[in-house]
Amino acid sequence: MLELRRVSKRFSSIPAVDDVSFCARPGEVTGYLGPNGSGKSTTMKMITGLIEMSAGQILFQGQPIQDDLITYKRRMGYVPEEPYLYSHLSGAEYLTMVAQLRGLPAKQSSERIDGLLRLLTLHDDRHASISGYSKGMRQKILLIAALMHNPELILLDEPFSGLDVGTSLVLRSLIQELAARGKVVLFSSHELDTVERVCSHVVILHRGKIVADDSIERLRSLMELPTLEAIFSQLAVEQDTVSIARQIADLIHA
Amino acid sequence: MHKLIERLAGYLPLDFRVLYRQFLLRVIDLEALSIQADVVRFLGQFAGVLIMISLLSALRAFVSTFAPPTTAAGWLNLEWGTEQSAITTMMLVIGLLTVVSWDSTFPDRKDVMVLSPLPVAPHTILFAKVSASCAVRLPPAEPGASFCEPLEAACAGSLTRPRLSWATLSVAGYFHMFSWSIRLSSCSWLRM
Repeated sequence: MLELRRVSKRFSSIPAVDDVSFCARPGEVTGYLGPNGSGKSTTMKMITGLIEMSAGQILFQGQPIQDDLITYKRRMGYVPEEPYLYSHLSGAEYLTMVAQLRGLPAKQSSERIDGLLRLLTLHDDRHASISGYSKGMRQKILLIAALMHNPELILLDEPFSGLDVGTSLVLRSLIQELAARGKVVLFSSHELDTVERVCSHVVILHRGKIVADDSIERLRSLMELPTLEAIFSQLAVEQDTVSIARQIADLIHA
Repeated sequence: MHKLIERLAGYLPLDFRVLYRQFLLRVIDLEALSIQADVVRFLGQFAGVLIMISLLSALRAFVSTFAPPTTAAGWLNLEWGTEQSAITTMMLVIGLLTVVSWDSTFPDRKDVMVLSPLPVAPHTILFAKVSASCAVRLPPAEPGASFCEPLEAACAGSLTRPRLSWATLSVAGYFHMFSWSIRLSSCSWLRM
């Protein structure tokens, strides 16, 4: 289980994440939602160990992650929001490098890389330079890199970004399949429709604070709203969206 | 020598070796350096500078072949000039390599974003990056300078050089061979 206890992060005294506590359990997909600038990616980066917390504790299987960050990272797979890759390498070379750094045996990593590249229809382009890859192809490489070592904890920050419809459907099923196999999956996205289909439990963040932490079913019945989108709008969207849209249209027609 | 290097490399952690090899390949980011990603043009300019130095050295050697100094002071001036030229060329090559690899001396944002989620200690990333940067910058500096020497050496073959000059060139040659043997060895012992 992944547990965040009163986690805060401040950038030059400006709070990005403020006193956040929640749990992500094995066997369920936890959705982590919030508007732009609400602190989602900052939380994800703290969970991956990319940035340090200002306060609080993050525990995985009961152990603070800071106690042994290297061992923790061996058990974690992370798909970042932005596709940072070594673009001078080919897809296969990049994945081999990741496998070596994760300490996977050569034969096993080669088989897994080959199989995953085939399943995600990248096999024909495996020797092409990543600099020539489309956004979707890069996203697939990041997915393979995050999953090839069979991690216990899977962190997905906008994983559908740039993926075509077919691959998105595969990924949607894959997330559920991985959760069903006992993985802890934390999934951050703006695509509320997908979150509603994939996640059993959601945490909604607004201005760095948690405004909801429950199952989608319970939130629906508690707030008497039909969809996750309606729940999210009520909890985390402050603007009158229809009015803003009208104002934009008026402005460009003026 | 090769076996000794191989054996010593075996003591290094695997993640260090993987990263060292990785960084070695991208110490000089040609695409980032060249205007409009014109790598061929950039390499052409780099080679042009070295060829120009080589031609100037060759011209100097020609002049001294056909009009050799007649006095001891003249020979001394010629030899000091040759030494100075060798040192200047070496400094120029090191300078050029430093400029083109400046951004890759330490881990950058991309390294952090790519490698942070992986189980690699930050100090391993730093050491691998600095080691790769030094490995690329230092050993080729002498061969790089030597690139300018062949024409000069060919033209100056008829000159009777004093022992000091001969000794300097020999040492430079051995250093050259040593540098290349390390580079060639590194290619094999880093292959996993």
